[in-house]
Amino acid sequence: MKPAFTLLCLALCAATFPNVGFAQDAHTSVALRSTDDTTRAAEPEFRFILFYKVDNAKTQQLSNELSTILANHADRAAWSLVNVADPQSQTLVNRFQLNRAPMPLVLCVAKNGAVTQVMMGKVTEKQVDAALVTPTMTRCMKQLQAGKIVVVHLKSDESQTLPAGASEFMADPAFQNRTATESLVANDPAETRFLKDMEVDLAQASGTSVIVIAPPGALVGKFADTATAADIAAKLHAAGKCCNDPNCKHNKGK
Amino acid sequence: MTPNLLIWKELWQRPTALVNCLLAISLGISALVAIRSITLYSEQAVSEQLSALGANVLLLPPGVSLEGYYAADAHGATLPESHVSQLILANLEGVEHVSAKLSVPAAFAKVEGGRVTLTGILPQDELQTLASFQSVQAFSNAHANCKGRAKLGGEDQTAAESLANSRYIHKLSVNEVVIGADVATAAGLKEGDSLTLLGYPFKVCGVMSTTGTVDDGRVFAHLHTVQRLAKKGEEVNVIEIMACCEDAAGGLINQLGEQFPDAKVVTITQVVDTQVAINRLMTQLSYLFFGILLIVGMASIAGTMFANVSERRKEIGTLMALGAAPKLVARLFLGKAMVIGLAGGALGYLIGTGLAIGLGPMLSGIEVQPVPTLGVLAVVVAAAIALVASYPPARRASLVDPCICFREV
Repeated sequence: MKPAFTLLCLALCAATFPNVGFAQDAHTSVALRSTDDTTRAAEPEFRFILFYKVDNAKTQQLSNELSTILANHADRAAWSLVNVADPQSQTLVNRFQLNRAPMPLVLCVAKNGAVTQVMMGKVTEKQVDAALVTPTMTRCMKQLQAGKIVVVHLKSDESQTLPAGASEFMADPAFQNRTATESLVANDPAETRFLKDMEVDLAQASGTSVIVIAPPGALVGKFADTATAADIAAKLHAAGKCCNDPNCKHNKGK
Repeated sequence: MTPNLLIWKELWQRPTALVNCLLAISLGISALVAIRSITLYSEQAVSEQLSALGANVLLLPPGVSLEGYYAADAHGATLPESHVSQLILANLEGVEHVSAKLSVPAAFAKVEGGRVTLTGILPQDELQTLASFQSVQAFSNAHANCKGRAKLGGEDQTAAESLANSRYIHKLSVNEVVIGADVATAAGLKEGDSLTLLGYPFKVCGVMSTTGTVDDGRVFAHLHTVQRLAKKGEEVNVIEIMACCEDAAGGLINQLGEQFPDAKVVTITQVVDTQVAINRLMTQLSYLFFGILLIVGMASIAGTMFANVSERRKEIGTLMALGAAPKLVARLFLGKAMVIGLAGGALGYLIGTGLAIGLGPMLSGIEVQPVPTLGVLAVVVAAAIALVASYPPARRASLVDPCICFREV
């Protein structure tokens, strides 16, 4: 277990224990209590945290939606309830800068600490599905949330090294402290969704070898083995534009 | 004696008539020049504001009437601060920065009136973690580049520079303030100095350059500090959204309306439209004034010239008896009118420009400079008016019968 995750678990336990009593008194949450017991036994791959300020109908609605939907994903996910007004929850609340956020609100946090979904107002099956991402996606999100540009290397086998252009890009003084690399074996069944979302066609002979994603969540480009550092840097600069409007201030002078 | 000398002598022999004609013509011209100068500079100011803030959108409490973009937080009504986080988490297309503000009056003896506006502003770094959650859409919106604009640039501006140029602050400690140029001058404050507002000691972390807006007379502190000191709770007066382009800002309106049904969404374009409408009204009024004064001026010149022709009948008759052609006589009067027109135009331009320079800051809060093109226009138009108004009397003069004149003698 990674240190960050250990800290998160400790914070979660501290934050959620007082809420068990609250939940029992206020609006029942058998599911919540069982979830908390589970939390102590073995942390799941994803934890949905329902932050609330007031135990009202909206909070109740979200907790009901969460418990219903997550019942179908019990093997991968669990959920907790955190009262942001509780002094013991402050470590967790501050960590996610939720002190002044609209409540109730649900965050899905992966085991590595990456937030994989934010839900306000309602929780849907589609949102939950989107939150349960692949291991590579959680690692990428973690890096993006730390402000890093992520260079994802799609290997055909474990022994393959990062292409020269991508390595050169990462070694560039302008980017070396702002980039992180993640890799995956392209035929890994656990990463099927990643490849599908990125529209990477493994069947193509000259297919993608490197995918670059920039914070907060912009796909910079998909590059072949032959791409140079300059190609990647050029695409990265182009990703700074926000739309195709020629009057956009980010497009002027490009 | 040359015709030019005759004109010159005629002008100086009748100074009262000269002054009357000059006043008649310069009055209309000065009104036109003054109003056009103020309107031109006002339009320029609006255009500059539009260029700087073209894509900005304001989120205001419902029912608030907006008097001006820069004073959008000076109404006392409030919105929940949680709207800021909601806005960030909603990850709407085109949103670049979000700046929430809460303004309260604060006693400060060192400035005129003994009060300043203390504006609480939420620094961008308070929203950094929430903004990083936008990475959750890196995969689900992989191809929606508009939403996924890479934000890689570090913040290399100081708090004061950023506030003056971009209207947001990246980082501001809870005990720091950025002060407006006028406050700094009046109180003799500079970076590193201390001041106490609402009983709380602040350190000046920067002085803004002059912006020409109400911000010059403000003190900016951390939003949460101002909320605490003013006992205002988690509320703000306005949320200013900096969008990347007008198209994006336009598209934002509907989305913001859906996200925040309890708030009023106003674009800078709407604010500017109001200003432009006022300018247009001013321009139309200036033409109306000009038209009225033009008729009055022309009538006055024509009247003076007719009187002049009547008075000079004998001299005109003598001149013609001595061989002067009717054309020369007409030229003398039209030449005189031309001199009056040119002088009246120049005088009107000078008076109008002086009025605009003096009244511009009072009427529109803008600094007005002389507009040379208006000077050329004023002189040409005044000369044309004088010529047109003087044509009938000049023609009458040219038709004077010398025999009748001698008979009268």
